[in-house]
Amino acid sequence: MKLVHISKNYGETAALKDISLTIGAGEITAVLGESGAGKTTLLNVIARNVSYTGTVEGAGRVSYLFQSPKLLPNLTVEKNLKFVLDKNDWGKIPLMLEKVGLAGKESVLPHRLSGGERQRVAIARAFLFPHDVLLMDEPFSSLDLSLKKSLLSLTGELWRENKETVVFVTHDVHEAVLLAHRAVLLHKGAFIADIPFAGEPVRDFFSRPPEEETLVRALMRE
Amino acid sequence: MALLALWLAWLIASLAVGNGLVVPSFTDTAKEIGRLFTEAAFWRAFGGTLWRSLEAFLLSFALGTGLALLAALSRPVRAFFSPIVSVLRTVPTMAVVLILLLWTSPKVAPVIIAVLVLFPVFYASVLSSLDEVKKEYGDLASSFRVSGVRQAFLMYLPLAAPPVLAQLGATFSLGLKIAVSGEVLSSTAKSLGSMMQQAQGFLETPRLIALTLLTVAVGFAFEGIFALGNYLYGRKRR
Repeated sequence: MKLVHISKNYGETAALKDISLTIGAGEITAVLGESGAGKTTLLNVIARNVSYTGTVEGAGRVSYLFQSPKLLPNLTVEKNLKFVLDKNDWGKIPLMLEKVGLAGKESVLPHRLSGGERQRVAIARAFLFPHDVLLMDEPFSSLDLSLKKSLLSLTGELWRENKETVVFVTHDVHEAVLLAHRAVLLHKGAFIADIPFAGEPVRDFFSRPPEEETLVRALMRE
Repeated sequence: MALLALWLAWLIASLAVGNGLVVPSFTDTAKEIGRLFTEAAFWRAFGGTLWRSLEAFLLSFALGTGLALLAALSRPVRAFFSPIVSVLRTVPTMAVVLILLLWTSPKVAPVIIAVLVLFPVFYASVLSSLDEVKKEYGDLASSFRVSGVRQAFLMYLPLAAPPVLAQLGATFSLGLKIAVSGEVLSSTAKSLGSMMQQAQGFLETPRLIALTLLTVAVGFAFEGIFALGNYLYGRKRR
């Protein structure tokens, strides 16, 4: 996927300034930056949810994993998945629910699930929806540490099956180093660094790869 | 407790004033209620008023819901209706009844005036519910390119309905109140409003109070029916 000279303004404010980026197929790219850096806007540009100048090539169909699970409260787990899927893909639901550890919860309404289970449904939905690129907008930011560990590992396992292209917005340097091949850093809508990580994700949750310090220094522009 | 306090206040006022024409006693009013139940004219008036209230309620519901759906989908439609709804909210209803009486009949004027009052209530309530759903789940539907039909029937309608349904009882009561006011001013035949007007004209204060209390009771009853329906619907969804 190629982003060429992407700019986006909200009124007078420039949310993205002339961003050019190439993301390899099957690569997980973490996008980091402080609040207002343009991270979510970049995802919206790739998803073609907003107007912009420049070109996005090869994004194809995108799937989304939001910060909150965004499950419709009136629909059961299974119906929430069916809501976004084409009828031809409904047959894939039971296996996916088994993979995310929710087999037997098909007919449960979201308010009867725990926070972690709700996010698992959202992960199942994101991976089930046919896509060329998966966009993740801080999906682990509001979770406690043990839930974060298990959902990071689940996301990694599901990614390994098809190795899809993922663009992953996060505030958390540790999350980025664990789950991504590289990190792209934004500051006030402008590109400031592209830092590759050694090895393959998903890395051990308790590891502290040396890239983490490089990333923190780059973010603090030291 | 509130009803008991009102009843006590009535007893005290009736004893203090000591004039049944100004503040009738509770017993006289209760007897009048009993008498009304035996009069065929009362039931005809009751049926007429209830029918007009229902007509206005259903018309406003259909109009308010339909136009709010259009306004939620289209910015120009929303912009078009915004000033109209504001004007309808502030227009003096009694003045409109007088104008309507020049153009229509005493049977139709109370219905139209109730529609003019209820339509903005339904329109605003449905539109704000739809806006809330869009704010919460609009990006989910657009990101996954969910079809309009699925969005309408699985997302917008079921999620926007509960807050609107919760208001139905209160809105029906408001419609009944406005319809009766319209009937009083229009002297609509076979209506509670015209019976009230006649009672006032003949200084039959117990009858006037009895008719008022019965109108309030009908409003309460419908609020209760809608609340029960809403409770059962909510329980089914859980």
